[in-house]
Amino acid sequence: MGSKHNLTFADQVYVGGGNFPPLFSANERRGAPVNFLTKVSLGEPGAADDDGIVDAATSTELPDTETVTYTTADDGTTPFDNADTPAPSTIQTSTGASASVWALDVPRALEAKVTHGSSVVAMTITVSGYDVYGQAMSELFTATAGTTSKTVTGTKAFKYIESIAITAAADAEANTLNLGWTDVLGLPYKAAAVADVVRVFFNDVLDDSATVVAADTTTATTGTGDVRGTVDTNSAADDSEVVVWMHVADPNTEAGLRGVDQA
Amino acid sequence: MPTRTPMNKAQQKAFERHMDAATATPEEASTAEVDDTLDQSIADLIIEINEIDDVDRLRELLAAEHGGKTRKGAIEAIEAAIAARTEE
Repeated sequence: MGSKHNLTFADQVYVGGGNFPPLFSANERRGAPVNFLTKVSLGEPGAADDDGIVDAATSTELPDTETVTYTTADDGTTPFDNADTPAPSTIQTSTGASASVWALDVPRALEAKVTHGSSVVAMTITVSGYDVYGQAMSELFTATAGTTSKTVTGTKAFKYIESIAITAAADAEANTLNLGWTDVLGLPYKAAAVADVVRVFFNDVLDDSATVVAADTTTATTGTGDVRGTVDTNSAADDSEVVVWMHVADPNTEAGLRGVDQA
Repeated sequence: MPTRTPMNKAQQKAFERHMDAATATPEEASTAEVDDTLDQSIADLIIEINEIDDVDRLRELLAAEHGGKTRKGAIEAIEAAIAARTEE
């Protein structure tokens, strides 16, 4: 990358000198408004792995009227996958603090699957960690009681996982829990609308069937969506690069770039 | 070894309410949560509201208490919780 230059701080940019009075009256500018696109790489995500973090946790690894919390201090032991779980590393968070985390290959959403031989015992899984900018975030996965299998798909794109807290108000030790990552990838800038994500490319091939979710602009909680939005390519992740051309609607504010405060 | 934190009664009730809400329609869940939260002693209510960060939910509880039992201790506790959250 060579030199860099900020073109303008205007909220809306116009080009051209044409003056059509009705348009000038509406826009108070000559010419026509233009909206810039930015090209962003979402990295080269590896294949989704539904048990890449927690692999078949059961028995006393799960709660009995309590909360069982795992951190990187438990890495290398069951119930962690250990073969696929990223090696723990230390990062500096957005507050300047250090945190021991599992770093995913790219920012991506998680998935929890709870199974039981006859009927799942109600359980929640709270994953806490950080986004790609080191901002603290958490997501609550709720597996309600009943049936033999419950899959709860997350919507927030985690880059770093710091802890996994599993809670049950009854004996859930007969459940089995898997926790891993999906193909839902996080955007580095806020996508104010689906229409702001103009093109998605998978392995340098246009993907017109990608699923785009716009940024969730409500105050973030453990139950809200991603603060910048996500993209799920039509093809399954396989270490191919995913590239997005998108419009950043509000590049003049911090929240316009990174979305609402994480939580 | 993972950390193990036993649940107290208030946490168990909160967990059960969360599960009820997860399986109910949004309107049913909201009403049931408010009724369930207020249907306890003031001492237990204070413990529970101390764990609620959502000011809108506290306001719902306050409105419901005003429209129901109108217990002075409960109203003062909820108002104090709202004040504390909105000052932060």
